[in-house]
Amino acid sequence: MDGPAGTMILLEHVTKLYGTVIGVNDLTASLPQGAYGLVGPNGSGKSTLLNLLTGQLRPTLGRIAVLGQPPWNNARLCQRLGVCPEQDAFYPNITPLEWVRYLLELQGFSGSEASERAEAALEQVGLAETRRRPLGECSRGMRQRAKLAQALAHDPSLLILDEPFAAVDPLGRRRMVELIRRRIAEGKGVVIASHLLHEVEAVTDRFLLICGGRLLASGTAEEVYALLEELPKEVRLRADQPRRLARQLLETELADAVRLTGRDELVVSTDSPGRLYRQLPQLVDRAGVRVFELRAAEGSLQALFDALLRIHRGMKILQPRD
Amino acid sequence: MELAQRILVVIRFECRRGMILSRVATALVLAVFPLALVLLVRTQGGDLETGPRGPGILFALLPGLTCLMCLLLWAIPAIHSEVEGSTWPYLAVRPGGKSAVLLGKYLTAVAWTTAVGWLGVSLCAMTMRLSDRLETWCVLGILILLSALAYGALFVLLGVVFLRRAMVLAVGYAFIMEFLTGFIPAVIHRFTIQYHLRSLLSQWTGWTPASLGGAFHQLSLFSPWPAWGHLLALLGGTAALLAAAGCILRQRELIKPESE
Repeated sequence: MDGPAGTMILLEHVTKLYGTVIGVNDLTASLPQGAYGLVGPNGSGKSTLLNLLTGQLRPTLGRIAVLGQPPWNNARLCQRLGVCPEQDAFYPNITPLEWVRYLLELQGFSGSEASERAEAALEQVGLAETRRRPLGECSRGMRQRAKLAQALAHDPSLLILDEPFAAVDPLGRRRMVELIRRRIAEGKGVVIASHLLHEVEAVTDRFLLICGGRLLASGTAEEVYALLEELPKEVRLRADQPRRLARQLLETELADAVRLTGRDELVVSTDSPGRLYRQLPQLVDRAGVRVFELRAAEGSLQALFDALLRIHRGMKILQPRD
Repeated sequence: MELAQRILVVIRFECRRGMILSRVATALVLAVFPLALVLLVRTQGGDLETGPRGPGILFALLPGLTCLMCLLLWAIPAIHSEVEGSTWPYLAVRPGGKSAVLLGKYLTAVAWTTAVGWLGVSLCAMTMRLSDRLETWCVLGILILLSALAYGALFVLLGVVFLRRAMVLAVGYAFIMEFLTGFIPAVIHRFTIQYHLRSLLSQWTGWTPASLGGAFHQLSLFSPWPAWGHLLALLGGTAALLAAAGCILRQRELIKPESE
């Protein structure tokens, strides 16, 4: 099952049921080659989707293609995938070097080549010095790095990472981010799942937002921010003449309501923040008001995430504007 | 060929991983257990060694009890231990990983079990008052290997089908099918591994319960088949059980929704 040329991942109405529990629900997406963040709260269906992509689960309904091939029981596709599952790998008496080498040999590399690649991958993730320490004596952060090393070591075309930065210290995290970015720059595909948005933002600006097993939004951060512009929201303004500004905003119907909350501050409620942002400079100029500060109450990606979840609870799906 | 190489990789890794004090100690205890039992009976004035009793008791203790205990410990959890230890997803995403891990871990369990059995039979052959030590050692050595292969395949299949309750089911199966049904003088006992192993012992050593006297004499507990028939049944059954385990494993989803 091939999608359009260059399609890295193709999902067609993919549903996964565990008995009567829905893992993912009617997912449809076509993702070209690139890097994507899969973002959603715990239990949102991220791991189910990743397990479907890596062929460890079979969709109950719908079809999946990864790199143009169905992933279930597909040994040829396994050659091209690097997978870092969320689960903490733990053979207590085995060293990271032995473990990565073992997985490389299972991948099909000869003993000597597996050793070389394992050494190189462990060095890349910063585990060169502790590569011969048993995993049982390694910290969780070290094991997390070993997990990334085993996913990278065979130079896969597509890297699928589930919560890769969990328990990794800031320095290690930075190193891992750089490593992943380097792969992206080399044109390799990456899908990175996390419930922490800043982790995803550090790697890519394209993401899929999933909640309750449904795809809430997809696209670049800018595209989803653009969607946000159409969401009702509150904007805080500080100005030298707040009452005058409030009157102007209400007269021009840029604001639905205005609250004066301080000597020089007002809070503007609007159904169309995009229009407010576009017309505010002219309005301010016309009214002869000086604005010192404009602050959207919801400006971060986290806020975007929360806003989308609120919409999701109302079962409204956002579509990017044409 | 690639699968064979991957199986060897798994065996090597599992042997390295299994070289821990607790497992080696368990193996030694299981190897010494038959001899300890025989010597205990000897100190109490009993005799399990001389005449036809020797091969019979060693058969019951080594290819029977010891092999089963080893395989309960090492063959049944072959896949379950990987799933429980959260290491399965790393193996399952390798090309042919599922089959390689299944067969590699099965063969590792067979190797450990056979080693324990061979050590046990060696200790017994050196210590017990057997009429023909070398013959007993050779025959029991082969039967231990066949027992490990056949029971190992059966237990691996049970472990794949019933991930969580496999140990209980295997103990139940061993007791009901192998030790109760296996001694029922009816056609059903031909479907037990015990029956074929027992028949081979009889053919290769001339041992029969009839030589012990008593009620066994009347029972058709042995097969008139030639030895190759039993070997075929055991090895063919082993291959069929492993093939079934492999097919089931290939179709099973071993990722649980709790892992979300």
